Amino acid sequence: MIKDITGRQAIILMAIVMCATKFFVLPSNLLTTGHQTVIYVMLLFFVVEFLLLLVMVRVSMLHPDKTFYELLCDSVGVVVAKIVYVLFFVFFIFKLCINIIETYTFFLDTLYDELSSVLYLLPIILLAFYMTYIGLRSIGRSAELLWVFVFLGLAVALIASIPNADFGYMLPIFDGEVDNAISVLSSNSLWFGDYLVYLFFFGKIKFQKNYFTKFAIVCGIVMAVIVLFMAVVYCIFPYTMGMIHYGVSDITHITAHITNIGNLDWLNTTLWTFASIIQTVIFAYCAERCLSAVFNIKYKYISSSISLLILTAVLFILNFRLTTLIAFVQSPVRFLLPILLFVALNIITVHFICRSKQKKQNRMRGIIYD
Amino acid sequence: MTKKEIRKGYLAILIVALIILLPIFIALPQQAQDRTLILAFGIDKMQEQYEVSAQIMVPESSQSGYKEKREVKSSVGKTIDQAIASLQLNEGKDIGVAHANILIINEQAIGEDINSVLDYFIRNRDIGYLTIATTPNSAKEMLEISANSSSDKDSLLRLISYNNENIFGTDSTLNKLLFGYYSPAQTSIISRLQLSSSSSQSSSQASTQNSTNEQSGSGESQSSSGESSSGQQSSQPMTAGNSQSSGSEQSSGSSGEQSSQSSKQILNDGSIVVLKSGKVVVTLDPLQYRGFHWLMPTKSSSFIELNNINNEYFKDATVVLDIINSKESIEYEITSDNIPIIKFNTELEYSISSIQQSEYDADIYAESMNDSTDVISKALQNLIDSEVQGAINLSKQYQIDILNIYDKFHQKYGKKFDKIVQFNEGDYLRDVEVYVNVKVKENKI
Amino acid sequence: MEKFSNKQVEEKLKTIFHNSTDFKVRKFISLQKFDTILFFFDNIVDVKRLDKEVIEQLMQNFEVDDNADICKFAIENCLTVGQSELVDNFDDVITKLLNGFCALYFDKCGKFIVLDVKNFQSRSIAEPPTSAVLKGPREGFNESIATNIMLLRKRLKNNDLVVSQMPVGKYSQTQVAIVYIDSIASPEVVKKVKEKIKAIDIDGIVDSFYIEKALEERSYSLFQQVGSTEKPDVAMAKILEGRVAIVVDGSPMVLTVPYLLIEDLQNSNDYYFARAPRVTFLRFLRMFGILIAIYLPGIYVAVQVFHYKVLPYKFLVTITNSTLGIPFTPLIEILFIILLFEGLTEASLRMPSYLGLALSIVGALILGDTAVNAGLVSSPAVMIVALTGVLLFTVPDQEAQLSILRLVFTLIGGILGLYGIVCASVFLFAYLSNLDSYGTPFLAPYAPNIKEDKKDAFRRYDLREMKYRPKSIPNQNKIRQKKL
Repeated sequence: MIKDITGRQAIILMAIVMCATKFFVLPSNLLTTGHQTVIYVMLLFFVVEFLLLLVMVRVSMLHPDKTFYELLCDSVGVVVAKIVYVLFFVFFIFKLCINIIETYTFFLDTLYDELSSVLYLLPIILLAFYMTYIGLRSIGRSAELLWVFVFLGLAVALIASIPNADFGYMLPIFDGEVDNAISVLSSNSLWFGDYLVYLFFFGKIKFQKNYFTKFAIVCGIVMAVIVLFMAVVYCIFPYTMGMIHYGVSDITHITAHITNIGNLDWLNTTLWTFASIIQTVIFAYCAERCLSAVFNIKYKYISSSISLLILTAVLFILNFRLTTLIAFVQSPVRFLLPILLFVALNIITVHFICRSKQKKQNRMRGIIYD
Repeated sequence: MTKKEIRKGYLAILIVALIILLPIFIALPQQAQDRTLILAFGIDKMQEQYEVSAQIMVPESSQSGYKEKREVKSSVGKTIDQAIASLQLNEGKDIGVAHANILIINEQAIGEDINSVLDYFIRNRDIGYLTIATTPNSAKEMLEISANSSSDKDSLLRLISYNNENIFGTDSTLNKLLFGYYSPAQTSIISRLQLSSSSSQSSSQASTQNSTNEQSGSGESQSSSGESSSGQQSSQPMTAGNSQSSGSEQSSGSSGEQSSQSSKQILNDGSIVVLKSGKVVVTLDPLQYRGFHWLMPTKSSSFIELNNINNEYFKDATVVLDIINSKESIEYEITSDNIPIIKFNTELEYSISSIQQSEYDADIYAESMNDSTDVISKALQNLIDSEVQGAINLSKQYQIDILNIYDKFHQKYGKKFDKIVQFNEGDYLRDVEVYVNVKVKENKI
Repeated sequence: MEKFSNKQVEEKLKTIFHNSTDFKVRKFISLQKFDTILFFFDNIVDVKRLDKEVIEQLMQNFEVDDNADICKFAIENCLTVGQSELVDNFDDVITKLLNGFCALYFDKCGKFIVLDVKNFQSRSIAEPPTSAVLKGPREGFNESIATNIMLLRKRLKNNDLVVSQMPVGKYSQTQVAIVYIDSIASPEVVKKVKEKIKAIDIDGIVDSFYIEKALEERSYSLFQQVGSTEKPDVAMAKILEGRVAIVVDGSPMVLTVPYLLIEDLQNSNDYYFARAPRVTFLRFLRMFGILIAIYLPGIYVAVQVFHYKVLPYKFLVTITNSTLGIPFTPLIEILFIILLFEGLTEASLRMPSYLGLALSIVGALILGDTAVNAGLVSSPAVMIVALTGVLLFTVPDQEAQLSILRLVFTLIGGILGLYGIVCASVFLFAYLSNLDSYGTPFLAPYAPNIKEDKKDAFRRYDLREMKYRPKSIPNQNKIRQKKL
């Protein structure tokens, strides 16, 4: 099996993918009705996600030469594996829609007076096609170069905004609104679950020393940063969350208050859109892999073209409107993520446990493992 | 398809796209030339209509040096949107509001709810950080004075922003206003600007000042009214362009140089307008607002004037103190009787800036340099105590929660405090008590 | 080969060379009894050596048995030329003659003696104009392959230094030498290079650039995948890192593979003159210079056409005032100035030196000052294009590519704005990260991340800390120096 990405690249990709679209409209969606309680619930949810992600990493290290599809086929058979992959395909198409429409609306609202949806879509589709065609290796290397810009944008936004946040607004902790918070979180569930892309890195990672530890630390930090960001946004706008559209640009608005500096916050957030584009490319890659696996398509450019055409069709059905998108993903479609988590991760956990049991049995029988 | 064919196909698509798109986009003009760039808004009310004034940037061709020209244009309409649309029509260009950072609202235009005036500015995504001020005078006139200043076009912004941040410690921005408006306290504050020839505001200032002066400490009357000195809080109005103010650069500043406005200056004396649910409730002068200031985490350094200081060294002296360091802690507690209590502890370090009295005795003067602390310290403690109590009384009187008392208690006590609010039918300030503990120390260099 | 007579051989060779007037034939009697004929091209041999070491020697009185092999006798006893060999076919004789050898034929001998008396005139060794140093060696390669190989040999006095030479080009038969250190270079890379050069089927090799095109795996790419240098010290350093050098006769540019993009950010001065912190600063400066050169015009056009909101107010006033009354739109204005400056650069390369001053004044005054005063273009635009034009030369080896990229990003900025620039940047990074040069990632050591190699990338560590050869370049022997 050809190893496309190094451990470091996998970690960087995961870090970018996990936080790319959580800083646009999600803060407003969650915090307007969920208030500070939803941040604590989200923290607990992230702890669970983090543990599940570590399980995934462990399984990938136990089977360094097998893709997730191959593992699925071994565990549950080809038919079920294909069904799971169809679900994943649909999931990634929805994630792509969220990503693209959010970024489009961000550009349209903040930086552009007019931006045709076709003109916006064309470069991103071509880019996604090109990068899925050339493969995960180039995506990993590009992310390895660009991550500095991405996190620089975020760091500037956070550092400039933290002094303006009154963290007292994070209290009281639950405030009797836990049900509401859970409901809000579940209706926005499709904004989460980005870490499932790791399943599509199975068998392609060249593991390095202390990979597991480094992965755990970085992903832990990323999740902590996401929670911190939500807290900062809420603590700056505790009563006016409904007026906030894009967290990452709005929190810097209030700091750029001297005329001579101008609206450099928008330039700063342009750096953040690198993350959004990398996430788009990764999701497109994952969707292409799903389609390839389900229909046994040999040539990447065919599966890539089909998945991007389907994406374009869905985008035009949604009319490139953020409100339509939000209404759509908050409909019963939002259960897709929990289903996937249940299915995919159960399979992985079972496989992991079975493998560990078998290993133990073999050790007892005297079979030596590398 | 081979790799080469795919590459050639890709290149073909790009070239075709370029050929189609380039002729369209190559002719796109510069955005700033195509727009009327608005730098400041002013809103006045004329009978039943709003008059919206806009300070706009007028381009002047120049290949060397920096030249800036501003003009004020205005139009009327039943709503703000209509007025701005009319302005756009008059100019014949789209308006560009991305660089607008000041909004001056005439107090009459506020009406029953300031949100009716602000709605356009809240919804417009192009507007970033907007500093707001009210005025009893004409907002349009203020914009004109600022625009006509030959030296410092940004004096208006500096007058509000700089002074608010560094001297008065207020945050008079759209964001803060909305914060207060939508909070459970429903209280917001805005800076208040005036024109120098207006006399109606000085009597209202005096009335609020007198109520403060009635409080006294240990038999020695103190007043916090004092002289102004560079960058200090005082009852003397801070003028734009006043050389005493550290906020502006030249003495001409933004003082009007046109014949009709040449005698008028825009003043920011630190007074604020307090809004409850968007409606003006009271205007506070800087001395009254200072009482609230003690209880706020962000403060500016200030001079404090103590009058009528009497001891073996001084007789009816006026002592001006400079606060060098301060440490505060504010605790919020609810007693067993469900009384909200604020415990304000502060440690101040001051130095004596100046002492003025009618008779100077050299010997006494020399001795007083080393041994005058007790009286002054006590006077200062009494002053702070009286100001803080005054602020709380004002809050109760007008039911204005400038200090976010609701938020502080709610964060700490949650439901327990909500019950108290409910019990008091929303008037949670009624029973609030504040205990002031001031420790002062003189910094003798 | 058949035992032709002198006359037959003479006729045959004259026919082959189409009776070229520089193809000379000298007939004489050697060793007092053998009819001998000497063939040579008089412009490419050292005639004095020919006279002294060949003709004069053969005209001496040596006693030779009638049955003795005259060719062998002559080589062993008479001829004093250093390099001589026996050739028994016309093809090899032709090749040798064309390479500055002379061919000696004894009547009905059936074999030629070819002797190396070449004397190709070439430029003297001088400092190359493209790579000036403040301190350090100033020797540069010239057009003679022998000189170039000599310059390498005298720096790498090791038996593992291999020079493998072959002729390339049907008509030019240009000598191309592959130079590498056998105990360091990767055998796969060497093999691949040899195969690619052997596979060249072309009329003639005019310059090393022809070989470069053949060596590149993606010859249509905007970016070169083969390094080049005019300096023997640089070539030596690259060979020591495990690279293979390709020396081409007739070209002062020596090619090296594998190639990394970071190489062009490095300069000889970095190793001979400046200390590590200064070098680090300079490399970052070069990188920022490149980024500004590529992006600035595009961002300038984008913010004018699409994103005026982003500009700070005072910038906006200055730009608006200076562009008021300009008849061109921002994109046309910038493209116009870029094309003007490109034309000026191109003309300056070709103009006679005595016209240089006059045309510089024309360029500076007319294009710069007068155009601005006439209101055709604005001063910020001229300043931006001039600045980026200068910054392109912080990395002169990449100037051509960067110039194209600058134009592309300007067009994209004018068509799609900042969003387009972001997408194009991602595309560029993806494209570069997909390029490989003989198994070496183009963007190493940053993508993929290779920690050890970063000691001599943007940041340069002290020379004593570079103990290992670069991991990104395939090599056999990892250790460069022991710990001091």
